[in-house]
Amino acid sequence: MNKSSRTVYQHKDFYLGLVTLFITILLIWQSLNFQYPSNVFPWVIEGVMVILSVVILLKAVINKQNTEEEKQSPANWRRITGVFVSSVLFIIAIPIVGFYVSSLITMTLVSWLLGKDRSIKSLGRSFLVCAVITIFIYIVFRVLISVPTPEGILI
Amino acid sequence: MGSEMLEFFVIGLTNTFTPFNLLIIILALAAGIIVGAVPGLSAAMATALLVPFTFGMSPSTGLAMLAAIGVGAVYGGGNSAILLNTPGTPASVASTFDGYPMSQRGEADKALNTSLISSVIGGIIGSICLMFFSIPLSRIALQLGAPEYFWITIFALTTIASLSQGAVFKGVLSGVIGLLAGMIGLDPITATPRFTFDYYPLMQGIDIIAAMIGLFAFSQMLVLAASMKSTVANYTAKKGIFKKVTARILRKSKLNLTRSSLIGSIVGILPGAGAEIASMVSYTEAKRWSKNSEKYGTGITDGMVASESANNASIGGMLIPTLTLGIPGGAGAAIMMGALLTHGIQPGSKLFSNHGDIVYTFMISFLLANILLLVVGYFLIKVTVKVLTIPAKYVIAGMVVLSVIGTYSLRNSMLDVTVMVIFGVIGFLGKRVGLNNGAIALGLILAPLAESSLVQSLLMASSENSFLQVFVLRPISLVFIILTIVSLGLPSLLMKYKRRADSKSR
Repeated sequence: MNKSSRTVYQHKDFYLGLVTLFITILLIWQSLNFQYPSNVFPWVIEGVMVILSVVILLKAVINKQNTEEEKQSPANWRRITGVFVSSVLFIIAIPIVGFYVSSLITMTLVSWLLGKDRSIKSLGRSFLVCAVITIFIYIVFRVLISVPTPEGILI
Repeated sequence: MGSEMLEFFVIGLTNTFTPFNLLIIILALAAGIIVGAVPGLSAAMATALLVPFTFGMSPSTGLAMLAAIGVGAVYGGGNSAILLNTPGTPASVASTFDGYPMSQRGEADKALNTSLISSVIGGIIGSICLMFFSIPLSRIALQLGAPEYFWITIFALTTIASLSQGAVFKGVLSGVIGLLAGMIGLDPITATPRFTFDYYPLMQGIDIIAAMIGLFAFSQMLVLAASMKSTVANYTAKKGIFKKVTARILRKSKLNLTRSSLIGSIVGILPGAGAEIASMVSYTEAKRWSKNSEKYGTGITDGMVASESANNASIGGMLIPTLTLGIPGGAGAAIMMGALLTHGIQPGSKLFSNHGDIVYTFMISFLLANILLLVVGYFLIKVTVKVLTIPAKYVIAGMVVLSVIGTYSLRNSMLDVTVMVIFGVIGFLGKRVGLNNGAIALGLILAPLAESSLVQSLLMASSENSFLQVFVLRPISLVFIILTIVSLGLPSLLMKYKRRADSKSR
């Protein structure tokens, strides 16, 4: 393992400690006005959380040795962000457009963006496959077990 | 008591053998096998996604379906371990050691059939353990008070934490994050709103199943998107191989099969130690006891037998503390417990007396699911090979939509869907920095029990005027305090096993 990847791992632990510490402080601030006995458990858990965050933070700062054994594969952040952003847009669109139509659009876009081939032809292929998946989901959820789905302008 | 048990048993039998129940079990097994075979889709994920389907069913059929999904998925994971050298679920890591060398030698069908028969027998032994240990344990559970429950939850959380691959602090942190998230909403004792940040809808708390669909299904889609592989598997079937393999295993691997299944069941009982650790430990033990241990890792049937019987046996073991104590033995069991709670059934010591019919129907259905795996698995071997060639991009797209509709159907709430996505991101980022999603799920589900038992114990301590007497000196508490300390020493022991198993694979 080379030196640069080791630093990356330490950064990860450092940020993990920092973020959890920050969140815990926020929660402690919220829980200051809790009354007994509903304050006992939050305070105990927050205490443990502070200790753990500080330990992880200090370990990342002091310990130069890499604690993580397995080397993770480098993430393709563009793909991850793509899936995440599409999902968020999907959730926003559901109440406006309707569940099934926005599902079809989201799935088509996600599978097209994730594929290697970004041609219009491949977009069409994605659309066809996802139309079949959507019909399948419609039959299972709407027809067979009649789960109510949010409806917008369309279905 | 005896006649009551017999009565429940008969009710269980009649409920199990209804056409609808049987159909559901068979479909669930098939779905589980297919999901398990696709690398990246885990048993926990399939179980979480299918919880909403159980709402239209009786609780016992719903539970049997979830268990059958788990059974199928753990077996299905072995298929891709054999064909692609990629475990379909983490439970099948040890199956790659001998399974892949076998398929490279052109013995894929032999390996697949060995895996099927071992999984079935392991699963049957696991479900028999579930039946025989649950009832006595539920009687003991009746005698447990608040302090004991407090220590058992602590033990459960430290075990799962200490099993988090050598990073104990991060493991405990994961459990604690789960506990904190579990506190959001009205508190169970005085109904004061906590951590709602004055946002009214959060008063009802985080829906456990929504969080778990996020942690196990949505986060996994992000993982899959991060590293997409296209996969191709080769498999040609030979005639008569099934009979030959069965005869060989039953003649030569009896001892290995029994030992591995028992190890699997026992490891399954430990909170947090699931199918993955069960198969690793039994693989190492099989090698230790074998006369030709040097052949392990070169493509030997006995290696497959050890790993595949243990991982399926562990499911039965995992369900023992879930049903009797209300403390799940692993991620899959935590989801099943969430499903039980959503059905309005509280697992724990009173489950057996209050809902005896449900428990027995479930246990018999579970045994039956393990037996039916033989038939369903046999016919699906050819199908799973084809499943492995489905492009990952469609899997991801479809699963995102399924996560959303599955979560929405829980309570028809878009807030739950948002919670699901947030937990998905927590699960994904958490995994990258070394947090343990199973521990987060366990913390989330144990938060109410941990809190109420702590507060009750405190009240007891103040009325008895002795903190020590209530918290430390009760015998069962003492046992769990010692176990908690021991469990923190487990990681080093486990590393030893892992290293040995790894060295064997080479």
